[in-house]
Amino acid sequence: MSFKPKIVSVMCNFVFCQNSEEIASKTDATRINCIGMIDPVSIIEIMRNCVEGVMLFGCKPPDCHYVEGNLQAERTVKMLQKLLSLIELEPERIELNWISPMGDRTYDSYERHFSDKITSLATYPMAARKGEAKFEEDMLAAKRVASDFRLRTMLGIERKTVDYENVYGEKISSEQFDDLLDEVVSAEFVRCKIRNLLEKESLSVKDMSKHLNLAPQEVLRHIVTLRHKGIVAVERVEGTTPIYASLETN
Amino acid sequence: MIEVSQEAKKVEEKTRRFPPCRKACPANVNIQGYIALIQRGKFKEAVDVIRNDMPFPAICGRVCFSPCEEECSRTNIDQAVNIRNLKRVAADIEREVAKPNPKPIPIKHDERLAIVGAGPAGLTVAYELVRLGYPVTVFERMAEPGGMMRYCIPDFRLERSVVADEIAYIQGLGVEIRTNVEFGKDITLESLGKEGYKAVFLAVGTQEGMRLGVPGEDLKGVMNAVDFLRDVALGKKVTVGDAVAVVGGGNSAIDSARTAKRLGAKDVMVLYRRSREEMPALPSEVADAERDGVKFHFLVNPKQIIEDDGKVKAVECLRMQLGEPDASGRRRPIPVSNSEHQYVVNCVIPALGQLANASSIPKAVIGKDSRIPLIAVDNLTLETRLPGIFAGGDVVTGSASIIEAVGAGKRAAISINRYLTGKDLHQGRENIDEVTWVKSMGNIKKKESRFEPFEHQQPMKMDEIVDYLETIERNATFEACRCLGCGPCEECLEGIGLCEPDKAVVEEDLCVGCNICASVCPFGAIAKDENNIAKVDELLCKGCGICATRCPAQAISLKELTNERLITLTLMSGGMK
Repeated sequence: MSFKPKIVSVMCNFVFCQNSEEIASKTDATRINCIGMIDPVSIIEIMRNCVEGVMLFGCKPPDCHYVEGNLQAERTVKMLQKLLSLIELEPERIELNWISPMGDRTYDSYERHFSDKITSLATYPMAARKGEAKFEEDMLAAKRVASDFRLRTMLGIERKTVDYENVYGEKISSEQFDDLLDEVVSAEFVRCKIRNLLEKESLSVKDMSKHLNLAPQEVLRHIVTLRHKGIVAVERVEGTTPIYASLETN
Repeated sequence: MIEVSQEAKKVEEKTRRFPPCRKACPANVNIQGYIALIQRGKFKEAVDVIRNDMPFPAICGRVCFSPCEEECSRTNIDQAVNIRNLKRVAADIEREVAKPNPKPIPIKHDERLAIVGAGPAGLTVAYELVRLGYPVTVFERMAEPGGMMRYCIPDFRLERSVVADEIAYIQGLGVEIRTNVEFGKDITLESLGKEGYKAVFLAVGTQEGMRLGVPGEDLKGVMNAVDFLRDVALGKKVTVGDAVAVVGGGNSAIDSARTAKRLGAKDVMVLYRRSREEMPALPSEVADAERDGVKFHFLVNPKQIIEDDGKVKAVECLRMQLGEPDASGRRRPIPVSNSEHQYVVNCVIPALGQLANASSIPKAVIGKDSRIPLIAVDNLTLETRLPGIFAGGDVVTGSASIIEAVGAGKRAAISINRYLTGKDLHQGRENIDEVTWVKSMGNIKKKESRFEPFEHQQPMKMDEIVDYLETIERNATFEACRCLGCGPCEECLEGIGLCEPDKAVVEEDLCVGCNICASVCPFGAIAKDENNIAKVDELLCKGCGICATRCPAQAISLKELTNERLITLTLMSGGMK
């Protein structure tokens, strides 16, 4: 048997209905009620375990049995792909496929195609990076982003803000929302990295910027926000340099 | 073995929520359930689900007027799921491949039950009660059981063999059917009582065609639709001549017109006093009739039938115009004066609906205030004024449909079972049909239909059938996948266990009351309560888990498939490669 990258697929109960028995025999396929239930945290956690790629299958709009679970999944995936690019992995590692009962592509053909795509990626194999300190840090930060309150709130209000108006009577387009979300993801990613760092030890902005390979003013900007939110605080001042510490318990 | 009729059990248990299709169905057939099975190619099991709710999958798959399709949530996206044809496909595949094989149900009760009339209502009561273990006897006036299904719906729409098979199935369960026994002549309520029958269900139906009420009605060449269709069904020689006018706009009118065409009439016209929109006949039947070459004249009403040597020569009609809506909600036709015109025909078939034959109904149960002879019953329990005597079907409602008769049969069966076991007939039966509605359905933008209309063709030669079945199976699974499954989770796979019903649970300590869960839930199943804590309505939750993935505080998870379990499952599966 030729070597295959470790990929997994998660699909909703209603895709590949016609050959459901064939799918049931697949070892790398997991069935769930709706693809909309895919939690960004789970996907990051799955990838953290050296899974090279995740294929998701949902019903082709407008066919979702849960009305718009497929569209929710689409948004999750967009967010995750942005997150992957931040941790220097290719967004293609997460693929969302729409399956229509009329389509005649088999599961195998999707799998083969995806498998080929993964092996041709520049960062393949990702597994080789396991153990690299930066990789681990990034992954942990990504996981934290995925469970972040602000980000999840944004994802939660997406359908509402794009389809209707928000409480201020504003209506934004899907593209505007994408841009906003990108901004939030990038910002939260840095903040989560800072939070992870500070939970281990108290540091100055200078130390942090060195560690994160970011400009000090960039780090300071986030520190100001985090101080506002009551997540970090000045622990002590060494000379003229304030040392920041995390206020989070875990 | 079926301990208690599923439906009877449900009604007694609790308030249930039905999806719109099931609520619209007079017999409350678990439509979502069998469609879910068809999605997965399990046709045999799908028919079992239908049979659990009613005994005529193949018949209703052909001729039901499918009120379910009108209510289908899918109409908000493109068009309704073709429920009737799916039922037909499932039933046909079962007939061709699996061959239904009923086993006699052991008798558990001593009380013998008599059912008068082997039409859809009577047979449904027999079917429900025999499954409860009662000895049931059905008395039928005609030579063959089936009632209007056998004698009024023409063979090209509903094959005799299909009716015969479905009745044979009921007989196979242990129901005794005695034909050529006329109620009021060979048997009466008193004689049945003397013979030891503990309860009687009267479903004698309506057989007398309504009269036109115009001069010339008794001429040779005027025959009522019911008599005409019955004579054709009985194989009698019926001559219609070259030109036929059918009066009326219901299914019997269309059936008569199409039958006349098949008997060799060159010109067949349907005269209807309202317009096409008001026709009670199925639009698909009207379209089929047009394909057969039947002509339609709307907004005309016969004034008299013109005679030539004792025979019909022509029918003189008045033009009509539509006025204000009447009691039935349809616009009332008003004659236009001086608009007489004639159609030259050899034969006139009035198809204006049927009445019960007054002599076949015991005086004691006839409704007091109705102008036409109908049996008066309690709307909920279908009990007549006489204790132990129940009635349902056309003889109660006036001529209606098969599925309504089946619905009445099911309700009567519950009542009769309660009557015989000494329970209250009314208790707990009022609130069964609350309905789940997909909250945000109206917001889904109309999208183009992704399917060709799904048609199941007429049966064909045996050697073509195998290929045909393969195609139709594939098409049927596609069509079934269009079902959005708007009912509660259990509805879909009730008792079949294709996938686990899951429910969202809220960890109250973590909930911050942001209400995002409520805004993302497609079914309105979750919302914050007065304490600002999210609460899940278990009857509505279908376990999609969208609220869980969107909860900013991660306070919601699924009961069965938590994030941790999903991760483990996925990793385990991937790891096996």
